[in-house]
Amino acid sequence: MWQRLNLYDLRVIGHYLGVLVLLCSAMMAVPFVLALVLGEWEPASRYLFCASIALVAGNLLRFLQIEPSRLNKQQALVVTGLAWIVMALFCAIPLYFSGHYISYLDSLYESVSGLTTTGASIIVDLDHLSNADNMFRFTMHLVGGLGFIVIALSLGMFRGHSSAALYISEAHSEHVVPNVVQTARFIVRVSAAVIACVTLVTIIICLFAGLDPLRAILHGLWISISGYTTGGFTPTSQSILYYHSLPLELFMILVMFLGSISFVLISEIWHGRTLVFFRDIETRTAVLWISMITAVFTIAMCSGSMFTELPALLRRGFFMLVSAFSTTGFQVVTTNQLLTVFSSGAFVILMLIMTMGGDAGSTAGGIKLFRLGIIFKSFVSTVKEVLSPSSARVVVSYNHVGRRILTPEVVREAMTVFVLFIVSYIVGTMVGVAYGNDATMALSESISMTSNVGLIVGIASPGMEFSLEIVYIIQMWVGRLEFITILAMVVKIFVSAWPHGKVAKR
Amino acid sequence: MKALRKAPSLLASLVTVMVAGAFALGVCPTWAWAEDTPFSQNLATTDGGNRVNPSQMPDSSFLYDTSIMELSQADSYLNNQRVQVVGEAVGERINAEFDPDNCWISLKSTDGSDSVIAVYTSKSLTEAIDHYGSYNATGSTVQVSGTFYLVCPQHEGVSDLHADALNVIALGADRVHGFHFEAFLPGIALLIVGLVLFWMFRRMREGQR
Repeated sequence: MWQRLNLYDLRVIGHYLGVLVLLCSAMMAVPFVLALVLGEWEPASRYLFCASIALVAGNLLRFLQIEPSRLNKQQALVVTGLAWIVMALFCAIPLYFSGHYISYLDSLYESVSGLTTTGASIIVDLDHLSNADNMFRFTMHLVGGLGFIVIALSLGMFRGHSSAALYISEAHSEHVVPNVVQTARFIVRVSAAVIACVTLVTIIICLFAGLDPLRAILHGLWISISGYTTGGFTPTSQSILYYHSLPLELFMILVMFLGSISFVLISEIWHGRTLVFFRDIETRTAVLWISMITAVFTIAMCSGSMFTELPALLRRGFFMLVSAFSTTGFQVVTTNQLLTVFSSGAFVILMLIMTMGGDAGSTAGGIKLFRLGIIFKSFVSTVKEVLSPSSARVVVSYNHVGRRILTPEVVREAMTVFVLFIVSYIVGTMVGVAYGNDATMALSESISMTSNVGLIVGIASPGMEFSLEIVYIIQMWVGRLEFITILAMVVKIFVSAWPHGKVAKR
Repeated sequence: MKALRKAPSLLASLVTVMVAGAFALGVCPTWAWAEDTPFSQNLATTDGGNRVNPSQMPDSSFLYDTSIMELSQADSYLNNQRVQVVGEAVGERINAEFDPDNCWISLKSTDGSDSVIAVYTSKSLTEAIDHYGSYNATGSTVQVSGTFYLVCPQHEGVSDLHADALNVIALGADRVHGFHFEAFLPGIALLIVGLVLFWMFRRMREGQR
C-alpha cells in the first residue's frame, strides 16, 4: 500500500530538517572564526550573515512541530534525502558571494561536491581564495564525509529522538555498537583521532616543503581532512602535485587507504581483533580487486609511449590508482596527462576502479567492495547449485564481522544498488554525449560524479551547461546516499502529491 | 603506347599534388616561415595564438612564445620544446626534493583561463619575485623561458617547465581588505533574530512538557 505523507508528517520532517539546518549554521561558524582570527573581514561578514540566515531558517523550521514524535522509517527517509540538498542550498550561499563562482548553480554544484565528498571543483581562481572560504570547503568535506546524521547524533542534536532509521537512511548499514548514538560518537572520535595524527605529519611535511607555518598548518589540516574523508578538494589548483613531495604522496596513499576502510572494521582493529579484518569479505575482495587492477593498469600504462619508466610509473601511476580506488580524486598528474599521456587502456582501468570504490560503511563512494564480493559469492552459489544434485541444499557463507550465510535478501540488495549505479553511469554519459562531448570523457565524468570520485577531465567546468550541471548534481546526491533513500523519498513525495483516488490502494 | 596512355592520368596526379601542396603552404602556420626580422615585427600568430621568437636562439631551434593554457592542453608535439610563457607566480616557492639549489613555483595564466603550470627553476632566479599570489596578494607577473616536458624524465613523469630564464615583468602587490563595520550589521541583526527564535523555541517546548 502506498502511504501518503500527511500534514503531521510534513511538520515532523520540517522540524528535523530545521535541526540539520542549525548544524549548517554551526558549520559556517568555523570559517567565520578563522576569518576573524586572520583578519579576513569580507569573508567574516559574509559567513556571519549566512550563518545567521541558516540559524533563522533552522529555528523557523523547528517551529513547525515543537515537540515531534519519534521519526518513523518513512519520515526518516525523507528527512535524510532532503537534508543533503537543503544543506547544500544553504552552503552554496557563502560560496556564491565569494565571487569565485560564475553562477549560484556553480556554487550549488561545489557545495554538493563538497558535502558528498566528490571533490570535483569548478571554482574559479582557487589560488586567490580566502583561507576562510577554503576552510568552509573542507568543513563540508568533514561533515559530509562522516554524514550529517552521524554528526548530529554525536552532538545530541536530536535530543532523545535519535532514530536508527535516520542513521540507516544515510547509507550507514551497520552499527559499531548496538546503540546508534554511541556508534555515531565512535565514528566521530576515531575520525578526529586519525585526522589529528595525519594533520601533524602533514604539517611537518609542508614545513619541509617550504610553506610558511600558518599555511603549513592550514594546508596540513585541509589535506588531511580531504584525504581521510576521501573527498578530493585541495587548497591549490594543482592538487597534491603542487607540493612536489614524495613523502606527502606516500603518506596520502596510506591515508586514502585508511579512509576507504569500513568503520566497523576499524572498530575491530581498534579492539585488537585484527584477524576479523583480514578474514572479512571486503578486505579479501579489496586485495583481489586491487591486485588484478594494478597488474592490468601497469601493462596498460607500459603500452603507452611516454609513461613507461618505472619511477614515473610507480610515483604517478600507483598514486592515481589509489586515488581512484578510494574515490578521493587527488591528482599527481595533470588532467592533460590523463588524457594524452595515459594510454586509453590505462584511462579505462582508472574508470573501472572508480566504479567500485572502497568498503561499505567507509567514507568512500562507488558501488562498494562488499557488494562486489556478495555478487561474486552469488555467482559461486549459482554455479554450485547447477553442479549439485537437485536434492542438495547449497549454502554459501562469507565473513563480515563474523560468519554469515549468503541470503537472497543480501544478494538482491547488492544487485539492486549495482544496477542502479550502472544506470546512473549510463544516464550521465548520455547527457554528456548529448552536449557534444567525447564519449570516453563523458563516461569518465559520469562515473566520477556518481561514485563521488572527483577526478574530472574538463566537461564539468565553470559555467557548464545548465541541464548537464543539474544531472551531475543529482548523480553526486544519489551516489552518496546509494540510491535507495532518494528513490524511496521521490516515490513518497510523488505519491503524496498525487491527487486523492489516483493512487492504487489495496 | 602504354606509357602514352597513362600520361593524362600522371599529369592529373601531378596537378593534384601541386594543388594540395599550394593549399598546405597556404594553411601552414606563418611562423614556420619566419625570417630573421625583429621579434616585435615578426609575431605572426596562427589561429591558436601560438607565436615564435626566432631571434632569441643562437641555434636553429624554435622558442615558442606560447601561453600557460596551451601548455596545459599540450600534446606530445610540445614535449621537450623550448617555450616562453608569462604568468602570475602563485602560492609559494616549494623546495625541490634532494636539490637545495632549485625549487618549484606555480605560474598561473593571466589570460583568465585559470590554467597553472609547475615551473622548475633555480632559487636564485626566483629572488626577483616579490609577491606570490594569494588572497592577500597579487603575485609578480613573470616571463619564463625554458624547456617544456609533457612527461619530465627528471621528475618522475610530472608535466613541468624547466626554466632557463625568469624575468619579472610586473611587480606584485598587496591586496588591501579593509574593515567595514557596516558590512557586519546585517549579519548581527539576523543573528539576534535567530537567537531570539532559538530562545522562544526552548521556552515553548518547555511549556509543552
